Amino acid sequence: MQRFTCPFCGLRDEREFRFSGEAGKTRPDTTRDVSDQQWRDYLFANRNPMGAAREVWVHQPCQEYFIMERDTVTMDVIGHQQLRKDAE
Amino acid sequence: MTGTRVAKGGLIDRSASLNFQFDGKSYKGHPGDTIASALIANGVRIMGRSFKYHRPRGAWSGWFDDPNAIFNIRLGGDELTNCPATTTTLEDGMEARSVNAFPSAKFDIKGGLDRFHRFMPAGFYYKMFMWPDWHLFEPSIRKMAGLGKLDGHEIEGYQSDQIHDHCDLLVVGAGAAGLEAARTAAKSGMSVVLVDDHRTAGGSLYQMADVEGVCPSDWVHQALREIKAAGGRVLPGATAYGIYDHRLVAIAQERGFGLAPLLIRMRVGRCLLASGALDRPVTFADNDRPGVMSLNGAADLLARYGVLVGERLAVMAPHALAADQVALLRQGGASVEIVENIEDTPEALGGKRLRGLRANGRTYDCDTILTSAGLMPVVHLWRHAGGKLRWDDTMSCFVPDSGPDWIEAIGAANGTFELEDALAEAQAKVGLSAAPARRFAYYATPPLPVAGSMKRQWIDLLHDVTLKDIALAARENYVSVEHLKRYTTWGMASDQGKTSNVAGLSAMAAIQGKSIPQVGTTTFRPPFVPVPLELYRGVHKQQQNHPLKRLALEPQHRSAGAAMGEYGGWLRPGWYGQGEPIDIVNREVLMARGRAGIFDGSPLGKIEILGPDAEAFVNFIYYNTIKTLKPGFIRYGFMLTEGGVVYDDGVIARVDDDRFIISCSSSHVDGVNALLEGWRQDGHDPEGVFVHDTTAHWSTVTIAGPKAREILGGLDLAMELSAGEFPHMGLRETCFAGRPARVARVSFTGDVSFEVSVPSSLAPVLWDAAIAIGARHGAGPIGLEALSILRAEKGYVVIGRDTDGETMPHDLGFGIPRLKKTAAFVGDRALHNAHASREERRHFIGLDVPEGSEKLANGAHFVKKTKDGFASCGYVTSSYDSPTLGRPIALGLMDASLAREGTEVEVFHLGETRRATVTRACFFDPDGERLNA
Amino acid sequence: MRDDSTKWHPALGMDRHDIDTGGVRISLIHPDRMTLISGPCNAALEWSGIGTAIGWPEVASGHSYALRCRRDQILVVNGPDLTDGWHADRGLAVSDMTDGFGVVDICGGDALAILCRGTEISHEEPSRSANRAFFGYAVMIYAYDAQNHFRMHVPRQLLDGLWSLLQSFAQQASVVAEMDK
Repeated sequence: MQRFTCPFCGLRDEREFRFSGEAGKTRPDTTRDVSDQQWRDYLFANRNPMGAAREVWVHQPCQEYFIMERDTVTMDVIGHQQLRKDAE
Repeated sequence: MTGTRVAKGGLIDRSASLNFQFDGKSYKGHPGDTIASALIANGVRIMGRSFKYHRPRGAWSGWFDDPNAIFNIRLGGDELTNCPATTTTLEDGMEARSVNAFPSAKFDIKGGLDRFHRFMPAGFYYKMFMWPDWHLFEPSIRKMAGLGKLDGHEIEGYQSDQIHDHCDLLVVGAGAAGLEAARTAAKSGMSVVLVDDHRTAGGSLYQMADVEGVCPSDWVHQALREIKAAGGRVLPGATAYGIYDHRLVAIAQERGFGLAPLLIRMRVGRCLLASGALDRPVTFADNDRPGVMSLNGAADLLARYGVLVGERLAVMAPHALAADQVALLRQGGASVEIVENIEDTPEALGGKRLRGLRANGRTYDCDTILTSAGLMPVVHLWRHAGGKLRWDDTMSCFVPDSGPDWIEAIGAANGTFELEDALAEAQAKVGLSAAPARRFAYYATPPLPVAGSMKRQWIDLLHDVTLKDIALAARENYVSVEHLKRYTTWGMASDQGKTSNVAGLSAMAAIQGKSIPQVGTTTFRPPFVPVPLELYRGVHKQQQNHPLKRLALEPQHRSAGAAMGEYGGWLRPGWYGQGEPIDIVNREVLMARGRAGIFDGSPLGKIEILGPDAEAFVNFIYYNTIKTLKPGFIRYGFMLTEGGVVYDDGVIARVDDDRFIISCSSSHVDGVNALLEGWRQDGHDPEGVFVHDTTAHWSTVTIAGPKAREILGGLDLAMELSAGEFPHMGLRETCFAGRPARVARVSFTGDVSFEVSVPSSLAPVLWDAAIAIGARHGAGPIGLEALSILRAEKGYVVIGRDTDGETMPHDLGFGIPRLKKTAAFVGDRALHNAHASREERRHFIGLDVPEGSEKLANGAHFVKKTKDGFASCGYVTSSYDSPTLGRPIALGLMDASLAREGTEVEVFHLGETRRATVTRACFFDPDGERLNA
Repeated sequence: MRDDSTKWHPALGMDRHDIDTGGVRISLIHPDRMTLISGPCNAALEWSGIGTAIGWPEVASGHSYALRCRRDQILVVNGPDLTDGWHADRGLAVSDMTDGFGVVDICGGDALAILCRGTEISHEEPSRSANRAFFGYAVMIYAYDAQNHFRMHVPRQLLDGLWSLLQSFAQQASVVAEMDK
């Protein structure tokens, strides 16, 4: 079983995490015109890289959404990036 | 002569005696024996019959590399199938039976099959037995395949314990290198765990006369003492059988016969593999005869168990360390002849009883043939971890090459076969230094397997794969090592090719004129040795596979005689009372319509949305416009996916300007929670809105029916209940028994309905009071089955039942927000693409059947004729006999062109076609008079 | 339409018997109050009058304490009586969760071994949050009062599933302790 680092909780079992999608996708402003292609790309187009990938994951116990960079071939975790400000 | 027990030596306890049986005959052994070593000591040689040809077989070695001695073992009423005899510790009273042989390994009635071996080469089942129909032969062939039989009896208490553990350094293998490494590391302050699959540590040290001047046992004991004194842990009988991602090592520790092993999931900082080395067999004619054994296996049997495998031994072992093992066997009392410089294909002489070896033009008189084409490092775990291998030409074996930085091989596992070299290397590697140069130059000169002998030469003993099969694969162009493996089944048996791997590669290399590294290797995967399936199960059984959520009111439901079942992940009452379920359910429906029904609605979600941005947030989440909802009011709405498909329905209540409560359907609470939190953090400012799932804190008792208001009045909730004061879809906060309570006027039945929510510890008080008051009005508890009918009579959808993966809100008749809502919301854009806007979408409809007909079947399709037959135009989603209306009702999804009230449609189910009429999806009180009363 | 009543053991009440194997005692405890507060952590602690929010492996003690759930959420045990809802003046959201959790107390030499059967947990790996997955159950785990003493909060509806699991783990731990003697 793999282990991932949640920016808040630290190193935890992979089963506590859920993949939430490819990082870097911004929701189009639907109050304006959005073409079928734009919407399709937002929903379905993914780069699916072989090697380093930037992904949005959620650590379910604390519900923290964050970015994880992983190697999709070696399963190495390259790094992570928190999205939330530290509410200390 | 066959095996004997020598007078002295071995690690067995000669003072005690154990009784056991094999194939119906009785024998004795000692504590410390394996069942195989005890049998060999008793002179038993034939321990099984081979998989395909039913040839007699004996043990090849004394530990996990033996592919032949596989037994069913019975002890104390428990039976285990396919136990490897060489690694099964002998226990008093064991009754062992050879597998794949009847009536015994010695005299097997299927032994004659071997005469037809020409018809059963590799892959024969793809070619023979095809005409007239291979299905005719399949059952018999299947019956003959496989090894041991399962007796079908469950062993009580056979459950694996599974535990997480961790250490700085895991050392796999407690031979010379492993002990030295563990000792060095423990003394340096690392947290060390040392595992060995034997119950007694020491590896092959017992084959030596002395180790650093002391006898092997003393050296081993001293090392173990020092390891433990320094805080190290030693786990005996523990096999590291697999390496997984992120430095996780799986260890199975045996607990004795009839007890499932312990699974330790060890997370390691570093790992040192001291897993030793095995003999590579020499390939020659009839090399599978009982009495052909591994040289190292014979030395090990003598050293550990005091068992001498034969009296007159012929040895073919062209490698640098064979001489030491030959000397040990001579000391044990055997007479040994060494066969040097093998030039032709040797041949074993004799069948069940070995009588000689023919090689280099002469016959060697012997009762046992010991072979070793060289030592092979045990590199399986290294490969699991992603380490690479390199072929060493001088040593004629694969050795670990480059790999992950956290794992290294030491000792024989790294090709360091000599003792002093291994000890020095172990110390160096613990300290992360390079090992000093080896002083001993090991070499091996294995003879190449030569095809063309009349007799067969075995490559894989467990799957009966011979050199002829390898040649056949080459002729048929299955030359890639991956094809070779799967076509011949070489290396695919339970021994995972431990003895056949290199032999097979060498054979294919010789046939193709390539080198072994050019042929390549296949992948090694866990488990390294067979482990019971139970190891992976542990506590994942029965309730723990899918623990249902339980109601605070479960004791009340059970006392009232409820039939409990799973509904949306909860254990809930289906109906109350004994008798024919459908009659009870119909009575509950009529009671709810005539007086009232009282039911436990606790699983409904109660997710609070709080904060200054709460209103904007819920307005974005929901399809419907929520920002116009006023405090004290409730609205029905849908949550969509970004693809525009209905994900969940539910009601949302506004308590305050900055406080909403989402009451989503009970089966979707966790999913809705995740969806809300996702949008909160990835799309909104999480400091402006908060999501609190308070579902567990509140229990809900719902009272629905014409008498609901009167029953509620009896509950003393200090609130106005009249229709004017408390309209349908209103929310009121109040108190119950001194604690906060909420009443929502929401209906799932279509009659006046109040959902009373109180903190769960008060639920029993509330329920009992409601039931008592209800009884006075002729009302009582109703279960989920009655509720399903009541809501269907009103045409209320159940998401996931009356909707499918494509249903959008406008298909359900809720089209206004799609056209009018201007604020952004989840799924908005998808509602306007071509697919969402097309005419022929499926609409939610109701169905009537002709008078006197049976109800329609759930899932029955509406069909229209095409030139090729029938096409589906939708299907029935819910269908019941309505006791309220006295006739069947149904709901469904139907193509728009047919979905007009009054249209007659054909309904097809299991070969039968019926007629039904499309009607409005509401059969009861369509104007909502009862609802708004 | 199936009656599975006999397939599932009746749910135990909130006043159930302890599990006591000699190596560990597991009991259900009933805090007077549990309150979920979201928003800036320090503001929440100040309002509740509690010094710190416990993650792992810090030790909670006494009658009143707070657990750190998330970056912006704490659970206060036996804190002051606060009204549910959004408190704009403080920027905090409050929900009473007194009846939302079963609270399990685990005490004894086998206690840590029981935790290690459900999740990968060790004193050498601290975590700011007490929230964890334990054999798939979403729980809060923290040290309470002394060594070999822990508490676990589980959503009330899954208390029975968790309790039955802890019973299995406690029995297994006592078997191992026996065998390792």
